[in-house]
Amino acid sequence: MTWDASLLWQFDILVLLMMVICAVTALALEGLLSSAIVTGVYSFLICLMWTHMMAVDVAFTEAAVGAAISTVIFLGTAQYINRWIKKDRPKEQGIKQLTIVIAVICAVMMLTATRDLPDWADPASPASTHLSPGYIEQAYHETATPNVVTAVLADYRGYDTMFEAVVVFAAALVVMVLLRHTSHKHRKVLHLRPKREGRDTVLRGAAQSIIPVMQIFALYVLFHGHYSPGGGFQGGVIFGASFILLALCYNLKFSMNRFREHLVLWCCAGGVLLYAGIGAACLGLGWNFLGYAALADLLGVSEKMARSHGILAVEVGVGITVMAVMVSLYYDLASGGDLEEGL
Amino acid sequence: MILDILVIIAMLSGLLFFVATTVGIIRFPDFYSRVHAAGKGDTLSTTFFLGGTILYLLRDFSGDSLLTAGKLLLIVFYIFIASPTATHAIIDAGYEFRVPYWTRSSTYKGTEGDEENEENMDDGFYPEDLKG
Amino acid sequence: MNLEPFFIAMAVAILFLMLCNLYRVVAGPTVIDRMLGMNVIGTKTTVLIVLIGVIDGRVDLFIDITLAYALLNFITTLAAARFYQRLAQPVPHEPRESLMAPSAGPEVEDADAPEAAADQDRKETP
Repeated sequence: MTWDASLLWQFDILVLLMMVICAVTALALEGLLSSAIVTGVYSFLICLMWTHMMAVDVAFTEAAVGAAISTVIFLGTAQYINRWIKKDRPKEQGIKQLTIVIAVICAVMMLTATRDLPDWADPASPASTHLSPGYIEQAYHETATPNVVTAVLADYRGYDTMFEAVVVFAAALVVMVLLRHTSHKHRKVLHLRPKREGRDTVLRGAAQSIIPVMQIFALYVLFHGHYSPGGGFQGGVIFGASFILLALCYNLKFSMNRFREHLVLWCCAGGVLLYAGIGAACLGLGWNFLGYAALADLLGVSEKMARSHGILAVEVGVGITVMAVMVSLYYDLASGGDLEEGL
Repeated sequence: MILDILVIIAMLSGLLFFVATTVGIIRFPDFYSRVHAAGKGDTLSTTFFLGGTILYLLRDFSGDSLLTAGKLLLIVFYIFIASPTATHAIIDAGYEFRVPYWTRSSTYKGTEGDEENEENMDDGFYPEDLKG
Repeated sequence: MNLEPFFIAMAVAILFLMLCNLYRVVAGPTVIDRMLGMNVIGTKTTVLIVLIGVIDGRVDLFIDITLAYALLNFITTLAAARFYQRLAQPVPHEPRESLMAPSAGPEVEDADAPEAAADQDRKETP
């Protein structure tokens, strides 16, 4: 079926209009929670935009990370910060105006630069003439991975992905250091919700039916990344989100009894170590760092299949790290760092 | 052919319910009635839209399209659980925060159709704290 | 029968109605109204992704995204509601009065009292 992009120009215009409205509203609103919610709506819309552009893997990542987890993290941060905000504080108009000026300058510069960009889906643009054809033609023959994005992500650009995993790991560390280092005098204890007999029944029933499906689906996304959109990041986020759902429907303690904190930390580090360890093993076998073909003799398969298996192992590492980091971030933000009480 | 007509009927009824939801969300006077509109109409219209898509996929009867239709059925099932539950959680939060509810006597002082008074009503109706 | 134009019209109509729902997100007036708008827009985004897939003829590619989306949108709304709910709690040494049903609930003037308690909670800075 042929795809005519001009058929849906109304679609583009409406989505872009809504995105602009959301962006302006998020800036203009006073309350932090409101802004976080509007940012969530913005993520929904940009996911729609990427789906429309057929950037399926990007859309999947945005749906998992942008629309769900980052909004949850924003909301957690907002409700945590809200406790320190004085209602009658003087408005810092000077800073706001300065920010607007900087934003306008940046916007003008970026709009000027868009004239140099190639047209949408232009086959003659440098991006689609130099590198992409090579990947598209060779990826399947070299790595036995039908999904080119997965092959590029975990094999050709393995370094990038490894350091992305390291960045995610560092994010968890930073939040931990920032929130847990606060001395008790400055800590605002977050209290458990009062006993609400029977009022959570609906949520718990829904969670009990959704969480198992969610975890199986997360594993499917993780291991099916070779053939369909998905992979370590998306699968890890969905798996982590299932524990967040558990914490939201019961409470933090309930979730922490099932996924204990020291296990979370081991998983955070273990995923990155698995990734780097595979790279180092390839190095030890006399190939380049992350040259998965080195594993061919070890696994008893052809070099092509060895690369495919290497990609899978690396994705599992990414998935473990991302899952644990999401859970760790939620534990810290929801409880204010002390992990004692919280949602 | 019959399947096509069924698809069109399902989609149009989904659209009808979504229009009703939108009108309710925009026009209803207080939070509780808006949640009522969203919780019911939104779920039902989504079910209709996705149901129409399932019927459309069944036009070419093959293993692939059956798998996709099965996954879509799963999505319909989980939206049917998740969307009302989410609205339930929202209304629970509003209830705990004691969002003021609308009564004709306490909030609406003008005559019916008096646009100006309707506009003014919003100013003092909600406490500042709810806007954060 | 070629249903593609019908699906395109449907997608644009849903998007237009989403734009109307965005009014509730932008205008508020309370946070939970925004949450409501977010929930509706999120649910309809799943429908739109499926419709784009149908128009494109590649639903099998998009279906995983949609399933993930439907599950995660639920979590986002739930988290927003729960975090907001927690702001309503007073500090523990102030005993919480029992909740009244909205039908027997406080007048609009009285509704300020628990808000003031919650407000005080927030004003207590280190």
